[in-house]
Amino acid sequence: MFGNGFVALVEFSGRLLARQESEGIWIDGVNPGGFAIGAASFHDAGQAVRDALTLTLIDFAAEATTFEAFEAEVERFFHETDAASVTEWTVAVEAVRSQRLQGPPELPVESADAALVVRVVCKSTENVSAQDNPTPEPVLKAAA
Amino acid sequence: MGSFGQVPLKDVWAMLAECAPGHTIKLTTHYYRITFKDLVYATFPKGEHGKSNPPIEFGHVKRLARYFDILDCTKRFLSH
Repeated sequence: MFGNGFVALVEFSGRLLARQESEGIWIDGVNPGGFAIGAASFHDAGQAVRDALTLTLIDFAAEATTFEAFEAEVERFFHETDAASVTEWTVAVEAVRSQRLQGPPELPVESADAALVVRVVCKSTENVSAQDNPTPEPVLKAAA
Repeated sequence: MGSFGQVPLKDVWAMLAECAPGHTIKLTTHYYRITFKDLVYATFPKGEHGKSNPPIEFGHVKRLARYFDILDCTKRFLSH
């Protein structure tokens, strides 16, 4: 991300709740909590999540006058959530683990015990490298 | 109402006036940033460009309401 006088690398590994509805897939954020998108398919939803988070970070970068302010805003955004959604996510994971609910087969599976990660790193020409380029990893994974 | 159903944006603003007194709304480059109590919802959609009262998918309203813990009031308000 380019901000006002800074360049930042941002990585998220969070939690989302997805529901299949008749019109498509609806996704509610858990971490980050202040976030939702709808899409026709999980494939489209992955791109929509990436796009929405990118636009959100651009908004934060536009408002922040320093890297530290940007970092604080991204971390607040990621961690702020509501207890009801966290509970619903936990219940959904238990349902998957007890085979009462099946995750979408088109998504790779990741342990629901994986740590929540938000990483905001200040970059400069001295510490930027080709390895900072985004890699085409799947945006969405099924928790299990 | 399903998440993909639509609500006029003006109805959302009226709902917030009723259910989230003291909230603030700020237009950013890509979203509305809505604050209530100590919470910030930074990604509320602006709706279709060029429309003065664009439709908003109900899922966004429901997510906002749950985030702010005003879901019961929101459902009551929007069912009228």
